[in-house]
Amino acid sequence: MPPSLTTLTDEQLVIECKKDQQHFAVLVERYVPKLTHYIRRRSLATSDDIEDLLQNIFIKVYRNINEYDTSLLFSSWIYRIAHNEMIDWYRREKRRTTLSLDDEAQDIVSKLFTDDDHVTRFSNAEQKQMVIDAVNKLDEKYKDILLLRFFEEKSYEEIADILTVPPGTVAVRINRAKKQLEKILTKHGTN
Amino acid sequence: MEQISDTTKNILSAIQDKHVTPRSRWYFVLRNSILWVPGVVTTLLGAYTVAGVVYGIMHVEIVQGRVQSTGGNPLFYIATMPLLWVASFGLFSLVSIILLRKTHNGYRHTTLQLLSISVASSIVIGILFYAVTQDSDDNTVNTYYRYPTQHQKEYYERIFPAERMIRQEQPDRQSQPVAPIAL
Repeated sequence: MPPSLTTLTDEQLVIECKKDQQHFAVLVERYVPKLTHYIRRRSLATSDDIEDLLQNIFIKVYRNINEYDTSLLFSSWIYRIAHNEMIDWYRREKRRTTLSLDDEAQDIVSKLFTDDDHVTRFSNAEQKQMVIDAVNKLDEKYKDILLLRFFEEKSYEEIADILTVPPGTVAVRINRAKKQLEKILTKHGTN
Repeated sequence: MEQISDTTKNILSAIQDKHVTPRSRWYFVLRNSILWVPGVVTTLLGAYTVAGVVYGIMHVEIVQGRVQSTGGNPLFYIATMPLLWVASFGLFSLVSIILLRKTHNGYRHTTLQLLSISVASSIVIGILFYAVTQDSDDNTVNTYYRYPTQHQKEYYERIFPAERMIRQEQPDRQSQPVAPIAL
Protein backbone atom coordinates (compact mmCIF):
# COMPACT_ATOMS: atom_id res chain seq x y z
CA MET A 1 0.00 0.00 0.00
CA PRO A 2 1.73 3.25 -1.03
CA PRO A 3 2.16 5.59 1.98
CA SER A 4 0.78 8.54 -0.01
CA LEU A 5 -2.66 6.88 -0.04
CA THR A 6 -2.91 6.83 3.72
CA THR A 7 -2.84 10.64 3.81
CA LEU A 8 -6.05 10.88 1.75
CA THR A 9 -9.36 11.52 3.49
CA ASP A 10 -12.10 8.89 3.46
CA GLU A 11 -14.13 10.91 1.00
CA GLN A 12 -11.18 11.25 -1.40
CA LEU A 13 -10.54 7.52 -1.15
CA VAL A 14 -14.18 6.77 -2.01
CA ILE A 15 -13.93 8.85 -5.18
CA GLU A 16 -10.64 7.20 -6.14
CA CYS A 17 -11.65 3.64 -5.30
CA LYS A 18 -14.23 3.68 -8.10
CA LYS A 19 -11.25 3.68 -10.49
CA ASP A 20 -8.69 1.72 -8.50
CA GLN A 21 -9.41 -1.01 -5.93
CA GLN A 22 -6.15 -0.24 -4.11
CA HIS A 23 -7.84 2.82 -2.63
CA PHE A 24 -10.59 0.59 -1.32
CA ALA A 25 -7.96 -1.50 0.44
CA VAL A 26 -6.89 1.63 2.34
CA LEU A 27 -10.48 2.23 3.45
CA VAL A 28 -10.83 -1.38 4.57
CA GLU A 29 -7.57 -1.22 6.49
CA ARG A 30 -8.67 2.03 8.12
CA TYR A 31 -12.10 0.82 9.22
CA VAL A 32 -11.45 -2.81 10.18
CA PRO A 33 -10.19 -1.95 13.73
CA LYS A 34 -12.97 0.60 14.36
CA LEU A 35 -15.74 -1.69 13.16
CA THR A 36 -14.26 -4.67 15.00
CA HIS A 37 -14.51 -2.65 18.23
CA TYR A 38 -18.03 -1.58 17.41
CA ILE A 39 -19.18 -5.15 16.65
CA ARG A 40 -17.47 -6.46 19.81
CA ARG A 41 -19.19 -3.85 21.97
CA ARG A 42 -22.54 -4.36 20.31
CA SER A 43 -22.65 -8.15 20.50
CA LEU A 44 -21.30 -11.31 21.99
CA ALA A 45 -20.11 -12.40 18.54
CA THR A 46 -17.19 -14.80 18.30
CA SER A 47 -14.05 -13.96 16.31
CA ASP A 48 -15.39 -15.99 13.36
CA ASP A 49 -18.70 -14.18 13.50
CA ILE A 50 -16.87 -10.85 13.55
CA GLU A 51 -14.80 -11.87 10.51
CA ASP A 52 -18.00 -12.84 8.64
CA LEU A 53 -19.75 -9.66 9.66
CA LEU A 54 -16.82 -7.52 8.54
CA GLN A 55 -16.72 -9.32 5.21
CA ASN A 56 -20.44 -8.76 4.64
CA ILE A 57 -20.15 -5.11 5.64
CA PHE A 58 -17.29 -4.37 3.23
CA ILE A 59 -18.93 -6.31 0.40
CA LYS A 60 -22.03 -4.12 0.87
CA VAL A 61 -19.89 -0.99 1.03
CA TYR A 62 -18.13 -1.90 -2.20
CA ARG A 63 -21.32 -2.90 -4.01
CA ASN A 64 -23.11 0.31 -2.97
CA ILE A 65 -20.17 2.69 -3.16
CA ASN A 66 -21.98 4.79 -5.80
CA GLU A 67 -24.81 5.37 -3.34
CA TYR A 68 -22.53 7.19 -0.92
CA ASP A 69 -23.70 10.77 -0.56
CA THR A 70 -20.76 13.13 0.02
CA SER A 71 -22.97 15.43 2.14
CA LEU A 72 -22.48 13.04 5.06
CA LEU A 73 -19.33 11.64 6.61
CA PHE A 74 -18.08 8.36 5.18
CA SER A 75 -17.72 7.05 8.73
CA SER A 76 -21.44 7.67 9.36
CA TRP A 77 -22.33 5.84 6.17
CA ILE A 78 -20.15 2.81 6.91
CA TYR A 79 -21.41 2.69 10.52
CA ARG A 80 -24.97 2.75 9.17
CA ILE A 81 -24.20 -0.28 7.01
CA ALA A 82 -22.53 -1.98 9.98
CA HIS A 83 -25.51 -1.16 12.22
CA ASN A 84 -27.97 -2.66 9.70
CA GLU A 85 -25.77 -5.70 9.24
CA MET A 86 -25.74 -6.20 13.02
CA ILE A 87 -29.55 -6.01 13.13
CA ASP A 88 -29.72 -8.68 10.40
CA TRP A 89 -27.22 -10.81 12.29
CA TYR A 90 -29.26 -10.63 15.51
CA ARG A 91 -32.36 -11.52 13.52
CA ARG A 92 -30.64 -14.52 11.97
CA GLU A 93 -29.28 -15.63 15.33
CA LYS A 94 -32.66 -14.95 17.02
CA ARG A 95 -30.93 -13.26 19.92
CA ARG A 96 -31.65 -10.13 21.93
CA THR A 97 -29.11 -7.32 21.57
CA THR A 98 -26.53 -7.64 24.32
CA LEU A 99 -23.80 -5.08 24.68
CA SER A 100 -20.42 -6.44 25.63
CA LEU A 101 -19.06 -3.65 27.78
CA ASP A 102 -16.82 -5.62 30.12
CA ASP A 103 -13.71 -3.96 28.68
CA GLU A 104 -15.27 -0.59 29.46
CA ALA A 105 -16.14 -1.48 33.09
CA GLN A 106 -13.37 0.71 34.45
CA ASP A 107 -14.73 3.98 33.11
CA ILE A 108 -18.33 3.10 32.27
CA VAL A 109 -19.73 5.35 34.99
CA SER A 110 -17.73 8.39 33.98
CA LYS A 111 -18.74 7.81 30.36
CA LEU A 112 -22.45 7.54 31.10
CA PHE A 113 -22.76 10.07 33.92
CA THR A 114 -21.06 13.43 34.14
CA ASP A 115 -21.87 14.24 37.77
CA ASP A 116 -19.62 13.25 40.69
CA ASP A 117 -22.59 11.88 42.59
CA HIS A 118 -22.93 8.93 40.21
CA VAL A 119 -19.16 8.37 40.03
CA THR A 120 -18.99 7.92 43.81
CA ARG A 121 -22.23 5.90 43.84
CA PHE A 122 -20.85 3.26 41.47
CA SER A 123 -17.25 3.16 42.52
CA ASN A 124 -16.47 -0.53 43.05
CA ALA A 125 -16.29 -3.31 40.44
CA GLU A 126 -19.54 -4.93 41.54
CA GLN A 127 -21.48 -1.70 41.22
CA LYS A 128 -19.92 -1.07 37.81
CA GLN A 129 -21.04 -4.51 36.68
CA MET A 130 -24.51 -3.56 37.89
CA VAL A 131 -24.42 -0.55 35.56
CA ILE A 132 -23.42 -2.80 32.63
CA ASP A 133 -26.30 -5.14 33.44
CA ALA A 134 -28.68 -2.20 33.69
CA VAL A 135 -27.53 -0.93 30.25
CA ASN A 136 -28.34 -4.36 28.81
CA LYS A 137 -31.84 -4.20 30.27
CA LEU A 138 -32.59 -1.01 28.33
CA ASP A 139 -34.87 -0.99 25.28
CA GLU A 140 -33.06 -1.90 22.05
CA LYS A 141 -33.24 1.61 20.61
CA TYR A 142 -31.73 3.09 23.77
CA LYS A 143 -28.84 0.61 23.84
CA ASP A 144 -27.84 1.58 20.31
CA ILE A 145 -27.94 5.24 21.00
CA LEU A 146 -25.96 5.06 24.26
CA LEU A 147 -23.33 2.87 22.60
CA LEU A 148 -22.86 5.29 19.73
CA ARG A 149 -22.86 8.39 21.91
CA PHE A 150 -20.78 7.36 24.91
CA PHE A 151 -18.60 4.51 23.66
CA GLU A 152 -18.12 5.25 19.96
CA GLU A 153 -18.14 8.98 20.84
CA LYS A 154 -20.26 10.03 17.87
CA SER A 155 -21.90 13.44 17.66
CA TYR A 156 -25.71 13.83 17.58
CA GLU A 157 -25.52 14.61 13.87
CA GLU A 158 -23.48 11.48 13.16
CA ILE A 159 -25.82 9.30 15.24
CA ALA A 160 -28.78 10.73 13.30
CA ASP A 161 -27.05 9.74 10.04
CA ILE A 162 -26.17 6.27 11.31
CA LEU A 163 -29.60 5.43 12.70
CA THR A 164 -31.44 7.44 9.98
CA VAL A 165 -33.53 9.41 12.46
CA PRO A 166 -33.96 13.21 12.81
CA PRO A 167 -31.25 14.84 15.02
CA GLY A 168 -33.93 15.97 17.48
CA THR A 169 -34.95 12.36 18.02
CA VAL A 170 -31.36 11.49 18.98
CA ALA A 171 -31.37 14.07 21.80
CA VAL A 172 -34.77 12.87 23.02
CA ARG A 173 -33.71 9.21 22.97
CA ILE A 174 -30.47 9.88 24.86
CA ASN A 175 -32.43 11.71 27.51
CA ARG A 176 -34.99 8.91 27.79
CA ALA A 177 -32.27 6.26 27.80
CA LYS A 178 -30.61 7.93 30.77
CA LYS A 179 -33.92 8.19 32.60
CA GLN A 180 -34.69 4.53 31.95
CA LEU A 181 -31.19 3.56 33.10
CA GLU A 182 -31.66 5.55 36.31
CA LYS A 183 -35.01 3.83 36.85
CA ILE A 184 -33.51 0.35 36.40
CA LEU A 185 -30.64 1.16 38.77
CA THR A 186 -33.02 2.54 41.39
CA LYS A 187 -35.23 -0.54 41.04
CA HIS A 188 -32.24 -2.77 41.74
CA GLY A 189 -31.55 -0.92 44.96
CA THR A 190 -28.36 0.91 44.15
CA ASN A 191 -29.70 4.11 45.53
CA MET B 1 5.07 -0.30 1.23
CA GLU B 2 2.91 -0.63 4.29
CA GLN B 3 1.72 -4.08 5.32
CA ILE B 4 -2.01 -4.86 5.14
CA SER B 5 -3.63 -7.07 7.74
CA ASP B 6 -4.92 -10.59 7.13
CA THR B 7 -8.49 -9.46 7.72
CA THR B 8 -8.17 -6.85 4.98
CA LYS B 9 -6.63 -9.45 2.66
CA ASN B 10 -9.52 -11.85 3.35
CA ILE B 11 -12.10 -9.16 2.70
CA LEU B 12 -10.48 -8.11 -0.57
CA SER B 13 -10.15 -11.68 -1.78
CA ALA B 14 -13.82 -12.35 -0.84
CA ILE B 15 -14.82 -9.37 -2.98
CA GLN B 16 -12.79 -10.77 -5.87
CA ASP B 17 -13.96 -14.37 -5.43
CA LYS B 18 -17.61 -13.36 -5.35
CA HIS B 19 -17.07 -11.07 -8.37
CA VAL B 20 -18.60 -8.13 -6.49
CA THR B 21 -18.77 -4.98 -8.60
CA PRO B 22 -20.14 -1.56 -7.65
CA ARG B 23 -23.74 -0.98 -8.73
CA SER B 24 -24.23 1.72 -11.32
CA ARG B 25 -24.88 5.27 -10.10
CA TRP B 26 -28.06 5.27 -12.22
CA TYR B 27 -29.45 2.37 -10.22
CA PHE B 28 -29.43 4.58 -7.11
CA VAL B 29 -30.69 7.66 -8.98
CA LEU B 30 -33.65 5.62 -10.29
CA ARG B 31 -34.36 4.08 -6.89
CA ASN B 32 -34.28 7.47 -5.22
CA SER B 33 -36.58 8.93 -7.88
CA ILE B 34 -39.10 6.10 -7.43
CA LEU B 35 -39.21 6.85 -3.70
CA TRP B 36 -40.21 10.44 -4.53
CA VAL B 37 -43.12 9.47 -6.82
CA PRO B 38 -45.73 8.85 -4.06
CA GLY B 39 -44.68 12.14 -2.44
CA VAL B 40 -45.33 14.06 -5.66
CA VAL B 41 -48.62 12.21 -6.25
CA THR B 42 -49.71 13.03 -2.68
CA THR B 43 -49.01 16.72 -3.17
CA LEU B 44 -50.91 16.78 -6.48
CA LEU B 45 -53.81 14.87 -4.95
CA GLY B 46 -53.80 17.37 -2.09
CA ALA B 47 -53.75 20.23 -4.61
CA TYR B 48 -56.78 18.73 -6.36
CA THR B 49 -58.58 18.47 -3.02
CA VAL B 50 -57.76 22.10 -2.18
CA ALA B 51 -58.99 23.20 -5.62
CA GLY B 52 -62.23 21.31 -4.94
CA VAL B 53 -62.66 22.97 -1.55
CA VAL B 54 -61.98 26.43 -3.01
CA TYR B 55 -64.49 25.69 -5.75
CA GLY B 56 -67.06 24.71 -3.13
CA ILE B 57 -66.45 27.95 -1.20
CA MET B 58 -66.63 30.13 -4.29
CA HIS B 59 -69.73 28.40 -5.69
CA VAL B 60 -71.59 27.59 -2.53
CA GLU B 61 -74.99 28.10 -4.17
CA ILE B 62 -74.21 25.51 -6.87
CA VAL B 63 -73.06 22.94 -4.33
CA GLN B 64 -76.22 23.57 -2.33
CA GLY B 65 -78.21 23.22 -5.53
CA ARG B 66 -76.66 19.87 -6.26
CA VAL B 67 -77.53 18.65 -2.81
CA GLN B 68 -81.04 20.04 -3.03
CA SER B 69 -81.54 18.46 -6.46
CA THR B 70 -81.27 14.99 -4.93
CA GLY B 71 -84.15 15.70 -2.60
CA GLY B 72 -81.85 15.89 0.43
CA ASN B 73 -80.36 12.38 0.16
CA PRO B 74 -77.77 12.29 2.99
CA LEU B 75 -75.42 10.07 0.96
CA PHE B 76 -75.19 12.76 -1.64
CA TYR B 77 -74.34 15.27 1.06
CA ILE B 78 -71.31 13.15 1.92
CA ALA B 79 -70.36 12.61 -1.72
CA THR B 80 -70.51 16.36 -2.34
CA MET B 81 -67.87 16.99 0.27
CA PRO B 82 -64.28 16.11 -0.66
CA LEU B 83 -64.14 13.48 2.07
CA LEU B 84 -62.86 10.78 -0.23
CA TRP B 85 -60.13 13.07 -1.48
CA VAL B 86 -59.17 13.90 2.08
CA ALA B 87 -59.10 10.22 3.07
CA SER B 88 -57.00 9.21 0.07
CA PHE B 89 -54.73 12.19 0.72
CA GLY B 90 -54.20 10.90 4.25
CA LEU B 91 -53.40 7.41 2.99
CA PHE B 92 -51.01 8.68 0.34
CA SER B 93 -49.34 10.96 2.91
CA LEU B 94 -48.66 7.99 5.15
CA VAL B 95 -47.13 5.91 2.36
CA SER B 96 -45.10 8.78 0.94
CA ILE B 97 -43.69 9.75 4.34
CA ILE B 98 -42.52 6.19 4.91
CA LEU B 99 -40.85 6.19 1.49
CA LEU B 100 -39.45 9.72 1.78
CA ARG B 101 -37.70 8.61 4.95
CA LYS B 102 -35.71 6.20 2.79
CA THR B 103 -34.43 8.90 0.45
CA HIS B 104 -30.94 10.39 0.88
CA ASN B 105 -31.84 13.11 3.38
CA GLY B 106 -35.50 12.35 4.07
CA TYR B 107 -34.81 10.86 7.49
CA ARG B 108 -33.42 14.19 8.75
CA HIS B 109 -36.96 15.64 8.78
CA THR B 110 -39.68 14.79 11.26
CA THR B 111 -43.05 13.42 10.15
CA LEU B 112 -44.64 16.76 11.07
CA GLN B 113 -42.15 18.67 8.90
CA LEU B 114 -42.71 16.37 5.89
CA LEU B 115 -46.49 16.57 6.34
CA SER B 116 -46.41 20.37 6.68
CA ILE B 117 -44.33 20.75 3.50
CA SER B 118 -46.73 18.46 1.63
CA VAL B 119 -49.88 20.24 2.89
CA ALA B 120 -48.43 23.74 2.28
CA SER B 121 -47.40 22.78 -1.28
CA SER B 122 -50.85 21.27 -1.87
CA ILE B 123 -52.56 24.49 -0.72
CA VAL B 124 -50.41 26.71 -2.95
CA ILE B 125 -50.68 24.44 -6.01
CA GLY B 126 -54.42 23.89 -5.32
CA ILE B 127 -55.17 27.63 -5.27
CA LEU B 128 -53.10 28.11 -8.43
CA PHE B 129 -54.88 25.17 -10.03
CA TYR B 130 -58.26 26.70 -9.17
CA ALA B 131 -57.21 30.16 -10.41
CA VAL B 132 -55.88 28.80 -13.72
CA THR B 133 -58.85 26.53 -14.45
CA GLN B 134 -61.51 28.86 -13.09
CA ASP B 135 -62.90 29.67 -16.53
CA SER B 136 -63.14 26.07 -17.60
CA ASP B 137 -64.77 25.21 -14.26
CA ASP B 138 -67.43 27.81 -14.86
CA ASN B 139 -68.00 26.37 -18.30
CA THR B 140 -68.44 22.93 -16.78
CA VAL B 141 -70.96 24.36 -14.36
CA ASN B 142 -72.79 26.11 -17.16
CA THR B 143 -72.93 22.89 -19.13
CA TYR B 144 -74.26 21.16 -16.06
CA TYR B 145 -77.01 23.70 -15.69
CA ARG B 146 -77.82 23.78 -19.40
CA TYR B 147 -79.79 20.59 -18.93
CA PRO B 148 -80.94 20.86 -15.31
CA THR B 149 -83.24 18.42 -13.62
CA GLN B 150 -86.63 19.62 -12.47
CA HIS B 151 -85.36 19.87 -8.88
CA GLN B 152 -82.33 21.89 -9.97
CA LYS B 153 -84.47 24.15 -12.09
CA GLU B 154 -86.83 24.87 -9.23
CA TYR B 155 -84.03 25.41 -6.73
CA TYR B 156 -82.00 27.60 -9.06
CA GLU B 157 -85.02 29.72 -9.84
CA ARG B 158 -85.85 30.00 -6.17
CA ILE B 159 -82.41 31.31 -5.25
CA PHE B 160 -82.00 33.45 -8.33
CA PRO B 161 -85.46 35.04 -8.79
CA ALA B 162 -84.00 37.88 -10.86
CA GLU B 163 -82.54 35.47 -13.34
CA ARG B 164 -85.87 33.69 -13.50
CA MET B 165 -87.49 36.92 -14.59
CA ILE B 166 -84.89 37.47 -17.27
CA ARG B 167 -85.21 33.91 -18.53
CA GLN B 168 -89.01 33.95 -18.51
CA GLU B 169 -90.38 33.33 -21.95
CA GLN B 170 -90.86 36.55 -23.80
CA PRO B 171 -93.89 36.81 -26.03
CA ASP B 172 -93.09 36.09 -29.66
CA ARG B 173 -93.80 39.53 -31.05
CA GLN B 174 -93.71 38.49 -34.70
CA SER B 175 -96.43 35.84 -34.39
CA GLN B 176 -98.69 38.09 -32.36
CA PRO B 177 -100.97 40.49 -34.12
CA VAL B 178 -99.90 44.04 -33.80
CA ALA B 179 -102.24 45.81 -31.47
CA PRO B 180 -103.32 49.14 -32.61
CA ILE B 181 -101.87 51.90 -30.60
CA ALA B 182 -104.50 53.94 -28.97
CA LEU B 183 -103.83 57.50 -29.62
